[in-house]
Amino acid sequence: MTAYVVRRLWQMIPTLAGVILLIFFLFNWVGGDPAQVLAGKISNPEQIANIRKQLGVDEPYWYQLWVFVKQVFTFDFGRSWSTNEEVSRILLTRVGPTLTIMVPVLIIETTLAVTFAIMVAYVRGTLTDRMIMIVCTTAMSISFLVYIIVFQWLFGFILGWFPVQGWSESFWKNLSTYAPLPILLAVAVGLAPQLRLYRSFFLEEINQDYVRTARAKGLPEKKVMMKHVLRNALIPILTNIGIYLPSVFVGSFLLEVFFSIPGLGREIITAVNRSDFPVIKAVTVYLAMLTMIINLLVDVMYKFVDPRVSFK
Amino acid sequence: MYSTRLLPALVIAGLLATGLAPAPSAAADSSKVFRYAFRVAETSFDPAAVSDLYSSTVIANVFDAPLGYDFLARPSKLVPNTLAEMPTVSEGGTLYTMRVKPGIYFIDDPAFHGKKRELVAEDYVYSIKRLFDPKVKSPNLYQLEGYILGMDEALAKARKTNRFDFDERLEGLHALDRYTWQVRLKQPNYNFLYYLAHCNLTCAVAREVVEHYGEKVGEHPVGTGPFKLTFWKRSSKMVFDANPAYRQETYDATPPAGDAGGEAIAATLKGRKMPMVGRIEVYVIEEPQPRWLAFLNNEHDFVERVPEEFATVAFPGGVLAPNLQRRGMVLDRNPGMELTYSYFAMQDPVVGGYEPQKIALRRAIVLGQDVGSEISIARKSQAIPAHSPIGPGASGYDENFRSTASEYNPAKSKALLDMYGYVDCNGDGWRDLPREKPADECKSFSIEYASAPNADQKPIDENWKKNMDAIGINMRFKKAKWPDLLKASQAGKLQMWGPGWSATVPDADVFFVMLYGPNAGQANHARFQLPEFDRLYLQAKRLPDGPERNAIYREMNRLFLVYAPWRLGTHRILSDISQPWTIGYRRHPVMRGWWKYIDINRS
Repeated sequence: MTAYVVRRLWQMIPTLAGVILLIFFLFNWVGGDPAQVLAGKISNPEQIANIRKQLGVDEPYWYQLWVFVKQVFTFDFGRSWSTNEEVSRILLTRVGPTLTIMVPVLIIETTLAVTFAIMVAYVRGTLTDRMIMIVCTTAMSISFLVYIIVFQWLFGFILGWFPVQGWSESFWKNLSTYAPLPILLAVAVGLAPQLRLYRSFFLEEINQDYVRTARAKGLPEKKVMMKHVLRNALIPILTNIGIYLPSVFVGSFLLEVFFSIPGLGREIITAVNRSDFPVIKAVTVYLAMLTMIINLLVDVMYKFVDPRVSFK
Repeated sequence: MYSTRLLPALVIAGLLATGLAPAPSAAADSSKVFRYAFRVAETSFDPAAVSDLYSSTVIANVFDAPLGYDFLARPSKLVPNTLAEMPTVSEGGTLYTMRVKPGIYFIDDPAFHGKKRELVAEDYVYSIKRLFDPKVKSPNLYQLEGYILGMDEALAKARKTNRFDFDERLEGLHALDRYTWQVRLKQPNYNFLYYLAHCNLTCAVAREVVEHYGEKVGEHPVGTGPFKLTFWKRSSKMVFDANPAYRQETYDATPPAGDAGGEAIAATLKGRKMPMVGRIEVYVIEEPQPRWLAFLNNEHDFVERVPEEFATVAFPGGVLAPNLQRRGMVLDRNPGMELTYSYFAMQDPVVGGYEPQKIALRRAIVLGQDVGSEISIARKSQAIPAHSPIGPGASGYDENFRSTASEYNPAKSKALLDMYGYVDCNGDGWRDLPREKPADECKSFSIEYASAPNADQKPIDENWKKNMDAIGINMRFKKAKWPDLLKASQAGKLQMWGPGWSATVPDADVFFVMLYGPNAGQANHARFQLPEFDRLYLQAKRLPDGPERNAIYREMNRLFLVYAPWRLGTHRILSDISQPWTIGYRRHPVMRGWWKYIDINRS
């Protein structure tokens, strides 16, 4: 396994190089002139030239690329162009609130989706199955924004069960007071598509020969479903969670904006609106790295879930 | 006309009648907390480095500019803030001499090494010089660049060496003694007085603080103002406590005659020591719904600029909704000292130029565009049509001024186009460029309007398209993000764009600056260059506010309407609602440092 992991880590280097090159050229050719943004509404060419010099964007492309590579490997992207805050500090201080929302969402949503999916798959074709699928399809058809507006108005304002918005310095207060409504919302929205997807994974397994054999051998239904069907369906479920996992770190910008949560998702949108490239570049590069690492971890986990998988 | 002036008067009168009004001598009460939301996150707390409205609001309450405004006076009236008296203006409006009141202190900070630090003249000299320091990258530099004697040379030197010499004594900006300082302008400019009340230009920062915190100075607002930052979670929450060492300053404001609400506020609060509330909590809530619901839920004491989405439920027809009236809430509704407009690029071969034919095209477009429907549909009736480039409330603004040149009259528009030969000669349904001879080849044209790809802009674009279709002009839209549009505009690459403008000082000059020829490519996006207009602009700058200058502004306005370099748009109406326990709030046209003028009485 060590050899496999080392090989995969080596393979990340050209991928990362590609990501760095892509981001660099996208930002330099499509991203616009940061000096123009910083100079404000009214500026003159001397002022803009001076700002370009200070930012180093008047240097040759090869030099700027070298600076960018150094930034990636030293984890030092300098300071935000719009707020002058250190980019590393932005990432570190914003990721906490995002994870406070997104980790419970991931755990609750996955647990509920897997549980309901296996139950629905077991009663496939029945009225219950059909009703749940209709509800899921309807729920999926409604925009996330509508959920947010309605939930915030109903549960926050009309019923007063949760605060309309807010965030504090205390982790426990956030988790107990400010996070429940956004978590409830995210789970409500994410559950339907996950349930449908996982149901299809379980149905795929239920129809396999080994399940028929297990039943023919007289194994109890609970054991058939929980030991054989669930374990085999875990591979596609793990893959799906692996795809979803990087987004946990960037959060849902809609939730963060509507509930005034000082998370990373909201910060990214603010950075995009302000053309704050150091922040956008840092987030993009680290997200690409995170995605590669998570993919590797998911691949390693396959081995533990399914003994038939071998590292070659 | 737009203010609900009677309501605050009634609320305060009610409080007085029931004996609940605060004691006149009460100072900042730490139990009084005023909470409200910003709609956009702050960027920095360095006066020289910020230009956005919300950061500017914070700095205006933490730092001190030499001058301030009478909070209730309309039109705006300058008053001394940290100065002992109003500046002495001499040598034909070029020499300004200011004397700082002794005994004003900065809040304690590690940068002062445990010593009390008094505000002195040199602090103002240093703070203004910082705008010229290339390292600060000040977005406010344009307002002073080219005006102060010797500063342009110092700036050019600093740009070469990337180091500004703060110790060099400059002829145009220096301290005469511990408390007296002087500014010498290259040319007369009576608007400089307003700059002395504009915190982004002239608020005092201490050199020790800047040197102590270096690049992080924007995170450490150390001022002499009524409030100090005590908690900050960036882009989320800011807490400001009343500055315990704030100088002795009492409420003294003079509303205009006939302003019953203002008179009631002045009568209630006159003589009270400021600031009156002990704490200000500011939350950053970008989305309109949570901002509005937090206010309705009494989580906030005030909602600034009620989101347009809620205008029809909050104040249908401009009057506070009955359910909110029953709760005792107070509406303050005023047209902002700002302007939306769409410019024509004057160097463009189709819409630009000063020949009668080109002027006719622009004036026909102006006549064919329905600002009224833009206001009712896109701006949800939260704006009034602009009849001149000057924002309401600014010196030189005439609210009764009307002109047929900016009316909506599609019939007249079509007639004008026909008269100047903009007819559909190729039969494609769109008007073509005029031909010199009937036998000449048809030359079709279209107009490209640049706009940002956001939801607010879409109905405005649709209104333009509908109106232009109706007069036979083919209009297309170029979509790009605002910074990219700004860059393209300054490079002269846009044919039409509607950037908008908000005043920082209450004078017509800040609007006409966008039409002054030498500002082409900077503030003057249209690149309008008319020698007669430029001459009048410079002439007006040399005069103090008064009938003589207003007459010049009227003539400039006439030239503007004749040549039509812009389609005038709207002045937005800004509506703020306070909870019944919030006392004394009034929107000032340009003053951001209003926290010290409000009080809370929850009993």
